[in-house]
Amino acid sequence: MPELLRRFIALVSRLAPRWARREFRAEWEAELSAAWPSRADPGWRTRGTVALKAAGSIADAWYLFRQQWSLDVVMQDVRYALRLVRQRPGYAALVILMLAIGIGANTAVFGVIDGVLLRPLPFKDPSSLVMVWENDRVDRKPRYPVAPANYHDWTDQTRTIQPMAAFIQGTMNLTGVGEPVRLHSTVATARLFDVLGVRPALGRTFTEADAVPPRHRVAVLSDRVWQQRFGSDRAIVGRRITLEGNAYEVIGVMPRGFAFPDRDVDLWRPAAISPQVLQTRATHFFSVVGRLAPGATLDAARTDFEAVALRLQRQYPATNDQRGVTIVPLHEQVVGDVRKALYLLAAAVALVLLIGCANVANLMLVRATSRRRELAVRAALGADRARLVRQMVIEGVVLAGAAGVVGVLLAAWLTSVLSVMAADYLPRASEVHLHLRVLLFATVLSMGTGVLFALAPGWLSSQPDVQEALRQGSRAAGARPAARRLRSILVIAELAIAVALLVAAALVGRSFLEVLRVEPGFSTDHVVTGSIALPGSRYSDDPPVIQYYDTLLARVRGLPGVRAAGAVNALPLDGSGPTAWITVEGIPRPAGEPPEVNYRAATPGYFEAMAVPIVAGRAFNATDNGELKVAIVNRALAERFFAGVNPIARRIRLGPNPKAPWRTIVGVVADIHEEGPDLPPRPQAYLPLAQDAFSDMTLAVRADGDPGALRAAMAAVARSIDRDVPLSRIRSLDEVLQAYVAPRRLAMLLLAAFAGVALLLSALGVTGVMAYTVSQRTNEIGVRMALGAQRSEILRMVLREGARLGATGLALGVGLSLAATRLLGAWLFGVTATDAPTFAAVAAFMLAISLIACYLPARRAAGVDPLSAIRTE
Amino acid sequence: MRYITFPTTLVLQAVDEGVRYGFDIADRTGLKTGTVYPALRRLETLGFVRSNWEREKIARREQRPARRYYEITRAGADALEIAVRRFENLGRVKSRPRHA
Repeated sequence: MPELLRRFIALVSRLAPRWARREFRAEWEAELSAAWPSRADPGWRTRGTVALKAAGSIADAWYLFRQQWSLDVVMQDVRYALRLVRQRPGYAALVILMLAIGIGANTAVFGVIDGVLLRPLPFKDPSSLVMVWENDRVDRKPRYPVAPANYHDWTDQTRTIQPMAAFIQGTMNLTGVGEPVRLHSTVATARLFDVLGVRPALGRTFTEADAVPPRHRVAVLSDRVWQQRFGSDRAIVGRRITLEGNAYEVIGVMPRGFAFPDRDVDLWRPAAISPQVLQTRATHFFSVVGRLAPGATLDAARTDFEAVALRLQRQYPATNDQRGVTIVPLHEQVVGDVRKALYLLAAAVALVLLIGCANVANLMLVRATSRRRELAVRAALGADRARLVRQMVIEGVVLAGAAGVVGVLLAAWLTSVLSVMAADYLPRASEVHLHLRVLLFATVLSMGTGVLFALAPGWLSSQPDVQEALRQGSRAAGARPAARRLRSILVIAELAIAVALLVAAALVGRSFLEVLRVEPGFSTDHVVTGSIALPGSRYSDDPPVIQYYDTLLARVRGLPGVRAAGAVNALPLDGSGPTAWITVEGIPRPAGEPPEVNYRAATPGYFEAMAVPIVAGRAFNATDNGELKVAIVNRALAERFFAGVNPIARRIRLGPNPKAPWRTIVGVVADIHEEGPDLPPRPQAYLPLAQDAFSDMTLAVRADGDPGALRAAMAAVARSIDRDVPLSRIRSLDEVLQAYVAPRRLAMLLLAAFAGVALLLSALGVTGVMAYTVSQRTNEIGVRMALGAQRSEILRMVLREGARLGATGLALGVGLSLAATRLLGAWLFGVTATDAPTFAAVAAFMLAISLIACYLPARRAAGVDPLSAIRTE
Repeated sequence: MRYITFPTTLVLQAVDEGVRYGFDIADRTGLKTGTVYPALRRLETLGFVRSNWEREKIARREQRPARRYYEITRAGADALEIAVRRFENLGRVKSRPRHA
């Protein structure tokens, strides 16, 4: 057989797995030799045939190569891994638990991100839906409600967004079906449902024809109201219901899950806009949603609308000066605020999983070291490196797979808890479920995790020095420097990540406390609030409205235990209230100061009920209903607009109308944080309800003792005055405040939970590494002690090594935190992202934890009996 | 019962008939060595054939390395019976030309 053929077979044999190579070569060489014609036979033809036969070795080697990756063999590895798991259930349980926490938290957060950010909105072709706002450059409000006349001009003069619809959100009292109830209503122009591309489940939606009085008294119900109030009666279409004292015909019911503009909406009705209203350019109350016309892009729409806005600026400088247009994708409008918070959360849980992985990798390294002998035996029997690495990786994947199952269960629980806790301020919270995509994510994550934490230890331990390992056995062989270095690096990384998470949690936690520590300017305890909305049909004029609230407050004040009672049109901390332009008589507006101030209508008793101090002058009283129009301003307004002049008895005018009456300031009250303790108080003016009637007001009632008992009595008083007007949203002022800080509280709790888990895991990591180091060095420690080292010195030696790990991790962690806490941005209040005391406290805490984590192994080291330690060899 | 393909059946049949070496099996069945060897590997994994090495003495006498030979097992014989029946129904086993 010629040398060339021999070389060819040797080359091909490299494709076969290592254990099969020798036999492969022997077999092929023998066959070829046997078939090769003897020297006497010159037959080229025969030689060619034999050479052709040699080519078959390629297919043979390829078959052997593939066979080692066949399902059978992989299953063999899986069975082997399962056997190892059964042999060491404690180890397996620890690994599964550490990974399950990480996988569970990541899956839950991905579930939230998927439901809130990634899933398309439940409308037809949602990516082309946009919201169109005015852009008020004077008051620096990029998303400002739209004036009806401007909306009308947009629909006439633009082509890029079609169709468009305007809507207003409000409330209506539903009576005649059980107890009176306040419903969230959306009044919209005819094409709202065309824009969204959603069809009703029953009946029809409204059309242009429905927008013409008197035919406009029709309503489309949400699935929820249809179920809860009308028992899912399919004969509802065509039935008349009473809203705000007027009869409305139900023309349709929307499908379950449809909610626009927000999840609270109960019904929709057509807006009958009179031609006069359509001329209005000075008042802004429309929200506008539209669909990009086929082929139109967002940029094209912006250009189109800006051109119209420019024309309108020139045409109507009095009202449209500095007014542009803002167009935002609907998805952005709905979820824009929470995107950053969710990504932050995702980063936090990803870090927790990373720590879990590092810990498990560490555990596997330890195991790999104690399994060196086993691995060496397998290598000696012909297992090649790929095979050994694969075995480790499959072990990892088996463990991670089990962790994935536990993690998904954990995620299911976490998601349900999260979507309930965050329901009030997380848009689309109801759409958060463990969908198929989330489960797929969990699967990929588990598998990836398994590969990730098994790869490095697998690689390192798969190159055993076979002879060395076989000779020394498993224990004394010790870890090779590369493995030891890797383990230290892993622990340091864990500590660094834990420090970063702890710092973030501490900063957000401190911010939360700082927010609670802010004096909001009013006292929240012993106050009950409740909302009233008077139906326009019977309370269209001011006198009955004023009369109603006079009577209501008088009767509430008569209830036992009531110290003070008042009403305001917009309660602090509970969404935004109206604003108006201010003009101060005789004092020009300071340069650069936006002319817009908050204004509130309040009754006598309001400041007393809220415990807002009167700084100068007086509060409203019963006499503020005459010809002399009065106002009270807050300190911020007095300071900004009165330039050091005492504002008492000076006059202001609210609104752009030059014919609006001048109002005399009779009092100055302390500032209150209307929009939230974490936001600065804004200039604010109060008008007496008797001179500026609002039909929708919120009661604030201060009790002497426990205000809880007042709730039922207040509701009964409201019913006794007008049985069709319910007192709704009865809450204590504390509850209002808690609802306001709830997102912060949740962020703090989540971060704290994740940081706690990270801390625990990294402490476990430190303990593990130190315990292992000690067990590896038992012999050395024994020698030291035999040579006269004291126990305390041994203790110190081990602690010193632990402290070195801790300090390195800490230093890295502080660096990482400095880079990362800047991302916290809006979550911080009252502390800076680089708050030194927080960093110092976390550092001290972390160092203490890592020393404690080292203490147990160190004590064990100090307890080593020198004689038996030396004999261990 | 594991499924074996038609060429694998032919290989198994050849081994059953006493053809012991890979190249000889290729000659007998008319299959290429690139088909015969993977088939042998598979049959061995399935436990239908077992292999062994020729005694050194014989090899030395013929001045070549020892060859690997294959023998059918009891399980292989059973599997062959079933497979042949299956392929006979398809009218394929007999139609194949045999090389001496």
